[in-house]
Amino acid sequence: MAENSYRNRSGQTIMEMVVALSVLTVGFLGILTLINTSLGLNRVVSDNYRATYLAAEGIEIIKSLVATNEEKNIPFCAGIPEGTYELDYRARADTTTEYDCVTPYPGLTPIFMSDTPLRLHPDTNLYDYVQAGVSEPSNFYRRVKISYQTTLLNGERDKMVVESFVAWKDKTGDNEISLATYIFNSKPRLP
Amino acid sequence: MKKFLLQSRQGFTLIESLVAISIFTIIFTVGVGGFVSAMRTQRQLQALISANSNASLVIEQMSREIRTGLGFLTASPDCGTFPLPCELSFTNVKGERVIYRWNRVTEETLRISPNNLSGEPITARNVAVRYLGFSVLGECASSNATPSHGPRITMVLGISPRSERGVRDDITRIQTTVSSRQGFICDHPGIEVGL
Repeated sequence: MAENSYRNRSGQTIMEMVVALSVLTVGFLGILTLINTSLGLNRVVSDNYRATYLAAEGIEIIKSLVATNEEKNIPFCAGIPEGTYELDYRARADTTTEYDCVTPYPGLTPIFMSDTPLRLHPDTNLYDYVQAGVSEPSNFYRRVKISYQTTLLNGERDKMVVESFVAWKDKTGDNEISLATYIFNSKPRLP
Repeated sequence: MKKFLLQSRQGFTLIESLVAISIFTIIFTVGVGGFVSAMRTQRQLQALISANSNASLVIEQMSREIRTGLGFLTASPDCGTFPLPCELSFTNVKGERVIYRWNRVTEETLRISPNNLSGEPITARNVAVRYLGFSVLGECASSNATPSHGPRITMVLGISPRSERGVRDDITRIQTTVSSRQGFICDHPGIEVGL
C-alpha cells in the first residue's frame, strides 16, 4: 500500500486547484470586508446617538416654555396650541404680547406640507432652522407634536402630551427616534 | 521503490521555481496587507466607540447637575476662534458654584468647584474635546436678578479620538438642551457661594 501511494503520480487537475483557491480567497476577502464594514456601521450608531439628543432637546424646549408660562401666571398651554411644530433652541416664550392657547409662540413653526431639515452651522456647530447664511442642511428632521388630554371633571385641559420625533436617512434606510413625555398643569382651576 | 525516489534527480527548472516563489510572495503580501488593514480598522473603531461613550458620559454628568442648578451664566475665557461661550457657571443643588469649561489647549472638559479650584477633567485621556459651547436662555447677570425665561441650556459638544490616525477628524457633533427645574431664582438665599 505504501509503495502504491509513493508511486501514485496522479495529482489534482488545474481546475480543482483553481476552484479550491477561489473558495479560500472569497472566504478570506469576506472576513476582511466584514471588518471594514464595521467602520461604516459606527457612523450609523453615532447618527442614532445625535438623533436621540436632538429629540430630547425638542422636549426640553417645550418644558421650559411651560415653566415660563407658569411663572407668568398665564395658562400653561399659552403659546403652545395643539399641532406639530418645528422649533429650535432659540424658541422662547414671548413676554411682550398676551398669548392664549390658540396662537403659537413665534419660535414654533407649524408643519403643514413638508418638513425642513435642521441646519448645522459650521462655526458654532448649532443645529437650528436659520435659512440664510452659511449653515448647511443636516440629514435630521425634527417634529414636535403637542396634544392635550383632560383628566379633570370641569373639562379643563390639564395634561399636555409632548412627542418629539427625529427622522433621518442613511444606508440602512429610514430611521426615526421618538420620545414622549407628559406635562401636567401645576396650577389647575379646581372645579 | 524508495531507492527510486531518492535516486530521482528530477527537480524544478529555474523558471518554475521563480514563478512559484513570485506567486507565493504576491499572495502572501496581499494577505498580510489585508490583515494589517483589518487590525487598524479594528483599532480605529475601538477609539471611536470609546470617544462616543465618553461623550455621552460627559453630557449625562453635566445635564444632571444643570437640571437642578440655578443662576446660570456663560463666559468666553479662552475659546480661540470658537464663536460660542465655552464656559458655563451655575449654582448646583448643594449651593456650590460650579464651572464647566472647555480647555482649548488640552482639549478637555474641566469641572471647577470650590473643592477643586484648578479644575478636574471629566473627559477621558484618549478622547479629545474639539469644541464645547453653551447657549443659555434666562441667564443671570447678578445673583439678585430674575431670569427672563425658564432657564434653558443648549450645549454643543464635538468629540473625537485623540491620537488614532485616520479618525482624528471623525468628529461626533452632539447638541442637546437641558432646562433647569429650579425655576426663576438666580441664587439660593443665604447660602455662601464658593467662587
